[in-house]
Amino acid sequence: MNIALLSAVISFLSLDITIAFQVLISSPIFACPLLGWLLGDVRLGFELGFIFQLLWLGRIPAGAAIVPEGNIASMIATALVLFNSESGYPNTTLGIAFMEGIVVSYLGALLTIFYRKLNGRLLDFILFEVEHLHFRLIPVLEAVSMGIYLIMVFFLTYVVIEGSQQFLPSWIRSVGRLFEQQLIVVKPAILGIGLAFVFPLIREAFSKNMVK
Amino acid sequence: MEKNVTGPRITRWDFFKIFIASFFMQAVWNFRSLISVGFSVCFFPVLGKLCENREAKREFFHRHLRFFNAHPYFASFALGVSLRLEQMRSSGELQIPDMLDRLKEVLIGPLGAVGDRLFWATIKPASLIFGMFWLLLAPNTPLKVAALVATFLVYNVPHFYFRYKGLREGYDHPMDIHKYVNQKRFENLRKTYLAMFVVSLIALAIVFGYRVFQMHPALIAVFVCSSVYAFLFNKVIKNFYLVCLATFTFFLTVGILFF
Repeated sequence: MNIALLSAVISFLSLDITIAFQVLISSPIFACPLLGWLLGDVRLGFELGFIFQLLWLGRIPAGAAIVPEGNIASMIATALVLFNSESGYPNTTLGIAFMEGIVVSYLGALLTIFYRKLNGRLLDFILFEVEHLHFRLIPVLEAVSMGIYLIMVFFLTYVVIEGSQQFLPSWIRSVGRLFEQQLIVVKPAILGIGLAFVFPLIREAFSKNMVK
Repeated sequence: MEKNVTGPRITRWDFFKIFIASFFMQAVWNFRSLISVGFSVCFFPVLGKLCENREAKREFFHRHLRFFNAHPYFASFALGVSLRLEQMRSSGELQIPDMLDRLKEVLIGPLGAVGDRLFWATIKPASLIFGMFWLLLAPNTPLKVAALVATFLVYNVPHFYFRYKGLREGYDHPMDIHKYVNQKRFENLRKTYLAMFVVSLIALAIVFGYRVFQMHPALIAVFVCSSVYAFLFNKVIKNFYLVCLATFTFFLTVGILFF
């Protein structure tokens, strides 16, 4: 599948995180199998969906909280693994995609802050239009805001996947040739890290206080 | 459709259009007015009915573009209240705008707290854990897809229900809405999902544990140690990125050196 088209799918799904719908389709257990299906390996999509869901289960973007953008990161990491699934070095591929995913989740959080600041400018513009009795522009500006987010996520996704595909196959080959056997620890380590972030979630669910 | 309501008629179709618009309530989320833009846009299907002229529309947006925040699903209670009060205002009740401002201000806390506790802290993790368990258990793709469909329904049935019900209850009972957003009212539902959360988590731990223990003992050690390491590290520095990368790099090094 074309990287641009894939980036468009990922950016559309990412609207579901906080901006529109919020029906869970951007969560790794839904989004990764969908990407797996689009890229021709739905089984791997399910497996990656499970791993990344465990990792980002406790990161819920409630209210004004800026959390790591785990959903975008999961989708990009899944795409990277699927693009390189025939390299013959699955552990190395997953390891590198995971590390990229963490970096992307940080970039995604920065992007959210930037987008919300940009929406502040849009609010000024909306207030200006209200003063001038141009009410029909308000839903248009709401759509523009969503469009801006789509474009920003599209570029983030496209740049990361396209950029990674320039060097990732050769990296995977060179690292994999040396360490593939040793990197068998990658999957248990990622699952272990994911489990560590589930514990606070249990405490939160049983807490009598509100979510922070 | 509604009894004893003065002002323009709000039909079921209007409610449905507002319900659909509410899915985009967080679209222009910003640090100054939070969800107010999306909240205001939800009224567009009935704006012509609520505001008789352009001046009234300007006043309307001045009222609703002020700071407002709530849980995105539970904001529909405030949407219903606002709809009813705006309807009353349009029929000539002049004290309504002040009352509406106060009511919305009062609702910010409960709607956020109840929604966050019910959905973000309980229903969402419970549904995802439920989905993960069935995903792990399902042996083939059709059953895994069925597991995802079930997960989607487990989460979205209460989601859609409260989005619509909130709108209707806010509209039908604007003055005693506090009774409808009381934490106790949702306690049974929360406990049900909490029970599902616990059962799914235990089931997931058993199935997942069974799979883990089929691995080589050294890999089991990596799994357990990385979990403990990340948990303790997170307790100390509370930085997700650093915890992930540091733990991962550490166990990668362990793998390269000892495997």
